[in-house]
Amino acid sequence: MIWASVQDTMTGCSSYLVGDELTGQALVVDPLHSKTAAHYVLMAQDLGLSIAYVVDTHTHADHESAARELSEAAQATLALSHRAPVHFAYAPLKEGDRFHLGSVEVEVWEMPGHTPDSLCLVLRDLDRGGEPWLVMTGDVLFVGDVGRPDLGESSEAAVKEAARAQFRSLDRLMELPDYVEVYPAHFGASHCGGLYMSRKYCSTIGYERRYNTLLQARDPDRFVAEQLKFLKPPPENARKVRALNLGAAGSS
Amino acid sequence: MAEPSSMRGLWEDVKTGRVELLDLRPPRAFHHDHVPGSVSAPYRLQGFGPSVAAFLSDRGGPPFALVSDNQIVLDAGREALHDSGFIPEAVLVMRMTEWAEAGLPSVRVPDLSVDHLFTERDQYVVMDVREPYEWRSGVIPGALTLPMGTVPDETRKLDRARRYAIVCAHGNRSQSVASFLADQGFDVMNVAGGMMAWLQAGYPVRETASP
Repeated sequence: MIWASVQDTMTGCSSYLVGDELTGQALVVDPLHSKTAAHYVLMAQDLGLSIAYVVDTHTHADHESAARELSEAAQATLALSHRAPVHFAYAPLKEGDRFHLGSVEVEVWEMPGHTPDSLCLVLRDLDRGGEPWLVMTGDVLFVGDVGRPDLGESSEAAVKEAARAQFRSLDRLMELPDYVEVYPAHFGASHCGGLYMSRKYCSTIGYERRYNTLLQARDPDRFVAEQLKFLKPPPENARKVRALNLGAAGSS
Repeated sequence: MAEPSSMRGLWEDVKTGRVELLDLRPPRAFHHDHVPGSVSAPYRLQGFGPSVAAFLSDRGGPPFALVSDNQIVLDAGREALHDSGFIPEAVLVMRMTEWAEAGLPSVRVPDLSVDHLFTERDQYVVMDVREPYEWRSGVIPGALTLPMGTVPDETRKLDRARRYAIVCAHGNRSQSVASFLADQGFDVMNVAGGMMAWLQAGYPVRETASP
């Protein structure tokens, strides 16, 4: 497995490039418009890889995605949740789907909460073992925090329902073994988390299980109450950014 | 999409030796499938311009062309060379599948899995191109041991009627050697994953081989 990450420290966004030594194929997850599509193409080339897949873990509301542009520039497959409400063509990902870059296996988990189309990607290196090595958690689980539930629909009932879904998704993540590495889509002062989000951009399931404050709420009602306590105004331009990422007519 | 006419024009220039063709794709892609006579010059973020400029200067600054399967990579390579004072005569974005569809020739080195090599081992001459210190981890029984640097001097001794499986530690050096031999018309395959994959799969080796 070849592994690289790209961070935008201004916005607290993380994106990832995973490749396979033998096939030379790479997957880019949550590419950032602020870094430009060309950056990822040249980075892959520098690592001796060609980008075969581009995935967004969900429709982002806080920053512009480069997924569509990158998939075109690299002639790669753009894959999104089948629930992604976007206005352009893509390969739909569903619960349990698995795709391979050589010995790297990517398993798709549908993890609604932060948004209805949120995905986590569970990665294995089949050359080394059959157990998961790491999980890209998108905006489901952060280091020290979890994704906020109010950036999709903002009515109180919808936010509560999203928080409840987030609880179930996090519960499911906690079924993974302690040693599995956690790579979220955000860190630091990102708009998508709450009070406790760490500036560190990766962690493990075991560390978060023990020390993530929001994971200590063991019943859904307490979790929802905790989430609601930390709500804050949506990021500036959230509506516009989301529309841009959806490819909505007239959004640019 | 590359125009068949521009690919044919380029091939005419490469075939007759009028231009040197530099292929900017990653090494793996080049060794897998490339234009006969072209040179692997993988674009890198650091040092690409000066090293390719030195290569071209050594050759007396011949006219050259650049090829890649990606416009962004091609533009970055061209710019880096421009900064080093070298301007290509032609540039082309194309895929080798388009090249083949236009009826033009290519040099191919197929990958060979260790599983296939193990079951079909009597079909191949295994050539291990690692350095002598690496033989300690074990050598495939019956393999020729020819460290990469010695291969050019040994090609006279190779049998053109046989099929060669080239192996190294991870499959990178063997790829270069395999495409070098394929350029000379040998029937070669590259052992994907090299000795790492062979050993991980638990296939037999002879220990501490001395040639």
